[in-house]
Order: sequence, then C-alpha cells, then structure tokens
Amino acid sequence: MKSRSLSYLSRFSLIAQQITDDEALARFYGELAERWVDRDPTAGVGVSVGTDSDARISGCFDRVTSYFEFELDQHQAQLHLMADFSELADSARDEIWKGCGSWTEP
Amino acid sequence: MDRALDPDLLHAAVGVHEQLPDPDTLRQLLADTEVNLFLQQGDIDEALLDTAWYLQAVATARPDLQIYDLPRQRHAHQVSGHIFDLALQSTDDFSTTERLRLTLAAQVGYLGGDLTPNAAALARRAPLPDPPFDWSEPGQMSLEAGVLVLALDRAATYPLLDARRDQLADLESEIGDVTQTPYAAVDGVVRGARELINYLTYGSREALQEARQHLTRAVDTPTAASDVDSRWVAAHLLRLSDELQDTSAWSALPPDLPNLSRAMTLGDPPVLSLWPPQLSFLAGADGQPSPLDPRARRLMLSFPTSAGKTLLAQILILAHVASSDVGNVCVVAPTHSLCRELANSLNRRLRTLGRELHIEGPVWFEQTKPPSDRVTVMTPERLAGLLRSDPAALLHEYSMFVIDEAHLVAAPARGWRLEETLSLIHHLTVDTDHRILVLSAALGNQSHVIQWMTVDDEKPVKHHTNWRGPRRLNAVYTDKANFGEATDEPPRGNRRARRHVPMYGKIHLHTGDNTVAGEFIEPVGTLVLRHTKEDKWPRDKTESSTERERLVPLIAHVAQFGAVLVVQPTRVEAQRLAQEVADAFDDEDSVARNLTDLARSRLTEAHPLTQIAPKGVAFHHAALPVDIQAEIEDAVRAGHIRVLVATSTLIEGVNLPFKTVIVGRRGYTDSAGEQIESIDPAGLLNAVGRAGRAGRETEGWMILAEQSAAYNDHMFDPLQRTGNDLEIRSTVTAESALAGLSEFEDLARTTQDAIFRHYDAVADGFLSFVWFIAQALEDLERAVSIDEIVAVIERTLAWQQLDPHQRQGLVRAAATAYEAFEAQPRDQRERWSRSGASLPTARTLDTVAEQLLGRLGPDLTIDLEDLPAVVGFVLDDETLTMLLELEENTRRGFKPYRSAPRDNLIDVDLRALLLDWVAGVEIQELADQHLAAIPDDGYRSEALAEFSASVFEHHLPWTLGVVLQWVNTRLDATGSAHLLPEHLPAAIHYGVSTKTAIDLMRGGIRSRRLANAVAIHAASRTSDPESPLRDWLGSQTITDWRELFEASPTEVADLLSFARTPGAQVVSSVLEGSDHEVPIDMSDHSIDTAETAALEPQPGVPDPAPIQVVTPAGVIGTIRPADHDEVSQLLSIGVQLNIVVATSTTGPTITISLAP
Repeated sequence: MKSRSLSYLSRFSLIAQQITDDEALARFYGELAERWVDRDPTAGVGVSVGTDSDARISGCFDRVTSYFEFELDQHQAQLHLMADFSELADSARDEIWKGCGSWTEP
Repeated sequence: MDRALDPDLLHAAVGVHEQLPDPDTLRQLLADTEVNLFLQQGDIDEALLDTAWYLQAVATARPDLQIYDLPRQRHAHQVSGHIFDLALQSTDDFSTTERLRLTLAAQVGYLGGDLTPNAAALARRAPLPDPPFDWSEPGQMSLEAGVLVLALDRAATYPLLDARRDQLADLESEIGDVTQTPYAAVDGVVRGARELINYLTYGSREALQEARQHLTRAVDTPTAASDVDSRWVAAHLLRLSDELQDTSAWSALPPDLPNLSRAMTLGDPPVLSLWPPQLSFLAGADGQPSPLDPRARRLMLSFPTSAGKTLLAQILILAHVASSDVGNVCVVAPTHSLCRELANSLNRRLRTLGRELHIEGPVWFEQTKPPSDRVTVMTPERLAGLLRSDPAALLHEYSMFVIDEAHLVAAPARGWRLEETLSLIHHLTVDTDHRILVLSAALGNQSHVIQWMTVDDEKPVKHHTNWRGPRRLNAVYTDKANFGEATDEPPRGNRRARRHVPMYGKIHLHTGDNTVAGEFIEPVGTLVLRHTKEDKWPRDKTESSTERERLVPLIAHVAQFGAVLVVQPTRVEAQRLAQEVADAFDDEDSVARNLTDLARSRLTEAHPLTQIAPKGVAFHHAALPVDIQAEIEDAVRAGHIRVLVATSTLIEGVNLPFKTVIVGRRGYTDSAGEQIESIDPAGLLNAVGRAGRAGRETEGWMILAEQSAAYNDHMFDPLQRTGNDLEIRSTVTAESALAGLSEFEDLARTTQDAIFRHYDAVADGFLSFVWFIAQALEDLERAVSIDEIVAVIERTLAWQQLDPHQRQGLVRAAATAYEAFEAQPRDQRERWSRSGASLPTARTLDTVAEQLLGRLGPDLTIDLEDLPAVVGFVLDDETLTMLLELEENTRRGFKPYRSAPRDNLIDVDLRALLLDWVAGVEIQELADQHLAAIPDDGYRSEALAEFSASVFEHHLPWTLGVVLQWVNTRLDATGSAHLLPEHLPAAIHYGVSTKTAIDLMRGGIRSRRLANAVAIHAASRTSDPESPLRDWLGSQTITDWRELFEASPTEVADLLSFARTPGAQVVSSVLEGSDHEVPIDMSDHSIDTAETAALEPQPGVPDPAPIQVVTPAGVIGTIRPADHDEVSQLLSIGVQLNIVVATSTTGPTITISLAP
C-alpha cells in the first residue's frame, strides 16, 4: 500500500476531477496528492479487512501505523466478519464475470 | 547540463514536501540513477517514483481550478516523464500492467512537457501485444490502446483497436449492452481512441466529437468504477484531445491547403501531430509573416538535429508545390547520400499528392537543362553546374531553392562552391518572387548570415530553436591505471622485468555544479611498465593497450542499449577501431547479411568491411564507394548495425539514428607534424545531435573520450556549445584565401598569365567565380562591368564578414580577374567560365579537347556503341596522364602499403585498370590483376575502392564530361555526322559498359554487378526485344529477378523502384477516396470477383517479398513489380483499406479503396 499510494492517488485524482461538477469537490480531488505528501491533517490511511467470522483475529491493524508516517488519529480501520466469506467471494466474482464464460478470467 | 537535471526546473516542479526528497537530493538521485542505469548497476529509488506520481497529479490537475500555475504544471510534466522513463529503463521487475502504466504516465509527462516525440519512443519499448491480440484484463487492454494512441502510431493502433472492437462486440452478443457492465470503461477507451486517430488522420470534427463522447462515458460509468486503469486512460485521452487537436496537421496547416495536411497525415511516415518548434515557426512567431506565405522570399531555419527541421522543410516544399503553379522546387543537399535520403522521404509524401520527384545524378555536362519535375534534389556541385550552363533556364525552372546543411558554406573544401552559387542565385532573384530557404543545425542566430540573406531591407523570416525531444546526457570517458592492483612479471632471459597495471574506465556525468562518476567493474586495458637498467619504470608503448583498444570495452558496453556511432579523426583509425570492435563481439549478427553480401561483391572478400559486417559492425568514410556508403546508411536505419565507426563525413547531415555517440580523438598529426582538427566545432555539434533520435529514443548519450589526461571539468566545454556559439565563416575570409588573392594581384602586375596559375584553392575558386559572374551577366543580357560584378560579390557571405580593407582587396582581385576575362577571346572565356573548374584547369582541359579533336580527324572510325572502346580511344595514355595530373585530382596512383609516404607509388597501368573497370570486370579480379604489387589483401581492396571512388567515380567523369561537351560542340559546328557518346563519363562513373547498364544505374540501381547482369540479359532477350527496359523488367516477377540476376534483397528493392510505373497514382488516388484498380499476376486459383481480399507479404521470403493477394480461398495472385512500390507504401501508411477482387478487359485486378 505504501509503495502504491501515490500512484493510486494520482490516477484517482485525475479521474475524480473529471466526473464532478462541484468545483470545491473537484479542487479537493485535485489536491489529494499534495495533501498526502505534506502529511496534511486531512490526509490519512484507512484499512478494511474482510474475512470469515470464525477466523482468529488478533492485532490485524497493529503494524499499519509503522508504515505510514501519520499522526495516530490519521489512521482508520474496519474489520468485516462474514459467516461464509469464501461463498461471498465466489458469488461476487460470478456476478462480475457473468456471461464471460467464453473468456479466460483475468 | 541536461535539462532534466536543472536545479531550477526541479525546484519549480517539485517544491519542498515532507514526504518527498528535496530538489537537491532529487537531482543527486536522478544523476546517480542515470549513471547506475548506464553501468547497469541499479534499480529505481522508490522515493523517485513517488515523486513522479506526485508530479503527475500536479501536472494533470484541472487548469481551470488554478491549483497550480501553468509553468509549474509544464515543469511537473517534464520531470515526471523523465523519472517514469528512468524507471522503465531500470532493472526493476515490473508486471506487464505496471510497465504499461508507467509507460503511459511517462508519455503523458513528455507530451505535457512539450517533448512530443518521446511519447512515440517510449511505445517502442512498451510490452505491447502482437496479433492476434488475445483477450486480456480490461485495464491492461485500455493501457495498451492508450500507449499506442499517445505514440500516434496509426499503423499499430488500428489493427489492435479493431481486434478489441470485434472482441467487445462478441461479448455484447453474449451479455447484452456492455456499456452497463464493468466493460463500459474499456469499451469507451477502444471506441474513443479509434475516433481520435480517425480525427488526426482525416481531420473530421465529427470524429473528434464522438471520441470525446466515448471517452467521457468511459471515465464516468458507475458499473465500471473499479476499472481504474481504463478510466485513467480515458481521462488522459479526454484531457489530451484538445491538445492533440491544436497540434494536428489539420489545425496547424492552412485550411485552404487540405492536400498539404493530407500529405502529412497520410504520407509516410504519418505526421499526426507537429512538434512545438514546428508549430511556433508555422504560426509566424515573433511578429514575422508565416513562412507559408509566398511573400516570405528568404527563410532561415536553424534547428538542432532531432528538432524536426526536415519535416518543416517538407511542409514548406509541399506547400509550394500544392499552392502554386509558378515553378518547381530545387532541393540542395551536400552529399549524394543525403540527397537520396531527402528524396526518398520527400517522395513518400509527394506521392500522396500524385506528384513526382527527381533526383539528379552527378555533376557532368551531359545534361545542361534543369529537370522539370515538381521537386528535384541535387548536390551543390550539380546546382552550380546547371547555373553555369544556363542561369536563365535555371531561374525559369525553379521558383524555390531549399539549401540543406547550409553551414557547409564554411567547409574548407567545398564551402566556396556552395556560397558562390547561393550568392549568385540570391543576387539574381532580388527583384523576383523566387524563394530561398536556408536550413542548418548550426547556423544559430548569426547576424552575418541574416545580413547575407537580407533583400534590401527585407530580413529573412527566421526561426531558431534549441529544442530537442530526446534529452541528451553529456559524458566524458576517462581511464586510469590502478597501481594498487599492479602485478610484476620477473625478467626472463633477455627480457627485462615488466609491471602490468590494470586500467579502469570511468564515465563522468556533469550535473551543473558537480559531476557524478561511475566506474566499470572490469579493466578496460593494461598499462605495461618496463624496468630499465637505470631502475626506472617507463611505459612500454608496444605492450600497453592503446587508446583505441581501451575504447573498445566502452563501445561494446553501450552497444547493448542501442546503435552506437563512434567518430574517429582519420579513415585508417576508423577502420582499425571497427575491426577491433568486431573482434570483441563473439556472435555474428545475421541481420547485417545484405551489407555483407554487397560488400563481398562490390569490395572483395578480403576487404575489411566484408570481414566485419557479419558482426553488425561497419565503418563509413568518404573513400568508400557511394553505393556502399548508402548501403551502410540503410543498414543503420534498419537497425542492422550495432556499431558504426565513421570519420566526420557521416555526421554532415545524414539523419541516422544512434542511441550513443562517442567521439574519440578529434584531430591528428599530419606528415608535416602539424596538428589537424578533423572534427571542427560545427562537426562536433552535428555529432552531438546524432545522439538520441527523436521518436526512437528518449535520451541519447554523447560521450567524449578523453583518455590522454586526468579528468577535469573543462573536458565538458566542447559539449556545451550550441549553434549560437558557432561562427560560420566564409572560406574566402580565411587567411590562406586572402593571401592567395593577394599573390594573384602581385603576379598580375608582371604577367598576363597570372589568372592561369594556381593559388590557394579557394582563391582559385573566387577568380573563376568572377569570370562566371561576367559570363552569367552576359547570358542574361545584363550590363557587364566591374561595378555589376562587385554588386554580386557584395551579396556573398564573405562580404558581410570582411573588414573594409579586406573588401578592397577582394574588389581589386575581382577587377584584375575581370580584365583578364575581357582580354580572352569570347568563345574561350565562355567555355572556361562554364566549366566549373579553376581557370588553369579549364585551360588544360581546352588543350585536351584540341588534341582529341586532332586525333579524331574528319571521320570517326571507332564504333560509338562500344563504350569501352571509345573510352580507350578518348583516354589514351597522354590524355589520361594530363587529366590525372590536374590540380583538382587528389589521387595519382597506389601506395604499396597504408603508411607509405604519399609519393611512394607502385607501378600500376592505370589505363588498363580503367578499361577493365569500364568493361565491368569484378572488383576482386581488378584488385588481383592490377594491384598484385600491394602485398596486403585488405589494403589492396581498400586502396582500389578509394581510388575508384575518387578518380573513376568523380574526377575523370567530371573532367571528361567537360572535354566531351566542348569537342561535341565543335564537331556539331563543323557538321560532323557523329558525336562522341555523351554518356561516356557515366560509363566511367558507374564502371559499366553499356547504355542499358547506365540507364539502370541512373534509375537508382546501386550495384554495378546487377546493372551489368541485367544489361546482358536484356540484350539477349528473345521475347519483345524492343520493349522498354522498364516494361521488360516489370513483366517479370521478384522471384524471376532473384533467380535470373541473383539479386540480393537490396538489389530487389532497387529494381522495384526502377520498375515502378512512372506517374503511377495508386497512393494518391486511393487516399483521395477513389477506387483504384491494380492489375495482378494470377496464381493457379480461379477468382471470384467481388470477393474481398487482403494483401500480405509472401511468407518466408526476405524483404522485399512479393505482395500476395489472399482471399478466404487462398493466395490468388501477386502484385506486379511495376505496382509493388506504390502498393507497399499504401500498406505501410497504416490506413484501413477495402480490397475487392475484380476482372477487367486486361485481366484480373484488385480494386483498392479506403475503408469507411
């Protein structure tokens, strides 16, 4: 995540600026990378993890703070536990690739 | 210093941020990375990549939001493009998708930073798919399309996009409307990209509008939100569509000349977007009129190499051709090689207009009327010859003169000829609409040159730029002995002890205020010290590695990254180094086979070039035959040469691509012990310009090898010069020339014969020019007086550069020469001033002509069809000796070995050698028979090649041409029934024995062997013996040619060009939107008319392969040789074609038209 963050922000910033008519929002999108490299108080890291509800979860966000040099309150995390995570993953994939039987999945 | 390392630029682009390196650190990181990548010793630092992505966000922020100012955004583009580019060259193991992402990001950076051609160069290195284009992940497919579109590579883009469009249509038939699925973004990219290319190709505004709609949909379809790469590509293409519109030929060129725009976008290679300096010149920057305005009568373009000067010249030439019927264009280039290159590239655009180009042959008197094709390309000597023959006809025929590489007016040997010709044309057209365009990479903003081309108060329209696409890295290469690693060799017998010290090569890169250096890990040579009786350790010259040997590891290293040009001061050194480089390569490089074949047949098996060519190594210098030089240049262009070692001849304007240029020693010591500078500052600037070719590479390395001294920063000084720093001096301003004129003046006081003595060569040229001015004024029925002559001299560059005292000297010399002109009988002075020779030489040639007339007698008894016999008669021993002893001839015979003194000549029967040459005897046989006294095989071949290039191909045809014209004029006046064959000089020049062979050589066949072989078969043909040669050749097939004449691939290409139907309009007619019928040679298949077909090169056959007509039923026929060139060009343009099989009254045909 750390090595790709600016790449993603840069690409997302360009896309997002082009799909909004709200100038303030567009400006915000246009400043994403700037805020990131300046460790602006509005910048931060969020991590979301999804897994089986019976997985043994322990300290899964502990190391996030050591990768990104933000203040502690600039880190956010979410944990989603699902009864049958692999079934969800399969059905999501089927939905996305519906009708693509003739193609090899990427 | 390279612009990418400019601290101000880095500061302006990046600023200071907590998470990024500061500008100084960034510069150091960049410089270290450059050196490490050069030495193949490292990856890209992650902090650099982060900076690049940050900069891209800065650069692509919406301008209307004014988050960043525009200059900063441009700087950010440039720096980010550079860093992404470095990342792509690193050894990092990026995935295909990531590599494509970085490529597109780098392209965006370069385009936004006004470095347009680098976008195309990047695509050449990108991991792009080959047909049949397997389906892959949508984001990757979009990235591939985006990279190709930004490279403006139409020929590659259309097939890929069409395949993707079909695949998406198949998908749609299974899942319904893809625009409501995760494929919406890739679908929008594919359709949008195609319409964008359509717009750039055909200029249709509707296509541009559609492109924008598709791309907008791609960015903003919720179902494809997760396809970030496709949306990112679409967002970039959408953002860049305005810019591409502004820079396209359709916007930048005048709308009233649509044919001109079409010639650019549909010519070959296509120009879909113009580069910044081209746009600014065409827009008429700095308050000047547009150069396309016919009222701009004098134009000066001073562009460094790789800035798009040639294309601008093409635009001006084509605009002239397309917009007026008032006259034709004469293009002048300094060498036959460059003429050929210019002609080929121009021809491929002119054909889109249905126009023809002509390339003039060498400078003989046989043809005194200028050709009347719309565009003719010739050397300065040929232009001078035409001007001398008939100035009125020349000015009537041409209304525009384009002078390429105009800085050669300063060249010691040939500069004056160009200056006098240009000055006289300039003077004679002061009050007319004639236009003169002067082009150079090294003219700078010189007030003298501007003053020279000023007509009264009307200054030339000029444009000067230092812009170039590929960045250039200037480096100095040194080597140094490491005494810490020395090993001692004990004395043995008589041999004294030696100390072997390994030497290491070091590359220094200048970064403004400091230098970054990297060292080669392996030694590049050895310094050997010898222990003397006095207990000293001097250098052992014989056992230590030479400078040349120590250069070889550097050359072999850089050759891994792309073609290398190494410049050496002398021919001998060029050949030796090339040999040593070839020895360093283990592998043979089969792609250089054409060159090897030709060298073997043309120069003998033993010739050094034949020996090294299989390794992809060659040397190039003026003493090589012209066809071999051209073949080497072709091989470099085709990427078949890894290393070319050349003297300065090659760098005078042949546009050859090299990744790296290495300049070794820049001078040599002549036999008198004088230091001669073989690469002058202009030559060095030109060499520098060869490093990194626009559109092919994003960077070029210029390496100055300084092996004789320890490194210091001043070693970079010669590389810092620009065209502005070079002064172009007329050769007449040289001390030796002025002294020669002064000597003439002194002598003229005591003898009337002073005008017929030799002085300095430039002084001789000036005196002959004075005669010619007087003659030209007479021809044009203008008043002739010394004042009129001085008025012309005042139009020379020399006049602008001399002080008043020196000008007086020039005027006095001119007045004295004019007195001598007036004192000479009218017919003699007319002949001599037209000859183009110095006046003493002209007088000798007159004597030769008189003697020949005497020998001819009243009745010609020789068979005038038998060219070798006529040569034998005309050039008897005495005549040949007289011609060879003329001052202008630089080669009088053969030395026994390479280092023999100039006057140590072996006994060779030069006349017998000449007669065998004309009879078509193969070169190996000539060497064996006539030069057996030269013991070394290699040198024997080399000496023969050099002699024939200088004497047979140049001096004798020229002088004999003058003599023949005078003799024939006299024969004609006396009512003689027979004249000497006017193509006799051509037989000597080409070394062929028949008129048919001469016609072939003139028509572009470069191989003497092939011309003779075709001529023999043509003479013995039984079917239709009277049909013209071109038709006869055109009635055969490429396969026939290979079998009958044993034609090599290069020879087949020449024959195809020769056999092309004159005036064929396949390209222009199809591109204009017509259906064009092309006859085909049938194979055994029966044909179904109205069936669609494809045109494909015959598989398994070397290029140029026959073009086959393929239908679903199989191969039904091939394109005839007469149409091959045109059809081949049409295919290479990369537009989509409809090909339908048909029959006509004359047989089966195909109908070609543009696909809708």
